[in-house]
Amino acid sequence: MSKSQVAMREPTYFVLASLLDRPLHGYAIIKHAEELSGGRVRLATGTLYTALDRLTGEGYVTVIREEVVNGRTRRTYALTGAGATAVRAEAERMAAAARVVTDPAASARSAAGSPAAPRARRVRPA
Amino acid sequence: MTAGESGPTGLERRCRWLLRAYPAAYRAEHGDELLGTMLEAAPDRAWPAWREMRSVIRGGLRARSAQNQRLPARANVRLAVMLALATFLALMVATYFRQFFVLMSFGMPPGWENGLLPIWILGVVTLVVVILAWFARRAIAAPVMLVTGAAWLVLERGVILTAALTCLAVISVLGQERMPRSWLWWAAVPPAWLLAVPRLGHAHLAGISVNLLVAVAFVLCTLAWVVVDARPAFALAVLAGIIEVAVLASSYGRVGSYKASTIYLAAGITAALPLLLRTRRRTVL
Repeated sequence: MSKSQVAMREPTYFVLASLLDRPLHGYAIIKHAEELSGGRVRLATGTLYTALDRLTGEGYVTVIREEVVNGRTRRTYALTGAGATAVRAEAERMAAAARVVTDPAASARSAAGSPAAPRARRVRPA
Repeated sequence: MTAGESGPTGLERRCRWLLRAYPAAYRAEHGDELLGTMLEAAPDRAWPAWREMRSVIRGGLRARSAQNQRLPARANVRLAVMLALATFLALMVATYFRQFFVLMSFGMPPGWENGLLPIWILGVVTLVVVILAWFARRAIAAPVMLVTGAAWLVLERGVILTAALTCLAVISVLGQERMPRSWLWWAAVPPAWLLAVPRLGHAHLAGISVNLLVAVAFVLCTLAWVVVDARPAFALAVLAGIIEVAVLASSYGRVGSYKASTIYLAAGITAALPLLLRTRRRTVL
């Protein structure tokens, strides 16, 4: 099973989504994720870096710049090709799941026309 | 920076202190970056928000766990047993020293210090040996342990100390891993002290036996600890076992302590051993 078919936790999803337009540093990711989610996802610092460490390890996110701001290192993170594919696949999966409720007829048609989608499984918490 | 900016400086100090939840190597690499983000997330505050603190502590424990995941279960067992033996030795020496102070408070016969000086020195050497178990190379530490054990046997007929030092020497040469050096291990001191103090006998508090209260508190602490890292809890269970053996082996058995220690022993081993053997993730210290 490819990684793109694995269900993501919401913070992970919004970290990746916030990097879709442009690379960002830590606090900017927190702010952008909050904007994108309409204020619902407010990442705490520890949660963000746990997610970033994991996503960097999986090759979804990479550090593209290191600079010193106020005497402290600041890293800018960018989405990799694999990361962009993963977040888009997750968006598709959630959209398909949403259609089951919002448009049951179309959902049933597409399910009949295509082989059964692999069931998403939960992975390590981010 | 201008004078009078005590607010941000205080916040920074508190954030830095919180970041100690992360292992030193991780802090060296990412500490500044996390600090910068924490400060940006908490402008004009004296303390970081509660959810920030929780996330940093959880992230730190997770980073420690990730760092320790390579240790196999047998290494964790070995380290836990070494910790138990080292704590036992430190407790024994502390007991010796306490006896000296009790004797001195009653007034000693003249010339007493000549007879006891070698024991004092040996006690200090034993404490140094316990520290060597953590910091020295095995090739140096193990022979020193054996020699010290032999000295106890000759000088004091200290069979228990000799046995403990010999076991520590043997176990320390069985594996490659170094003892964990995290300051969080100091959290083991209060429960170890609970194990070592003479029982309060038949004292009661609000109608409940003090022994029972201590036992319940100990079991609760152990269970809480197992969630974070199974090794200290297992080490304490082993320590309880060693104390039981030592009590049975010596003539000055503390009557009344047997039952309470057995509860610690059973609870500790039952709670900690399965986690210790199965879950490598639960080793954050």
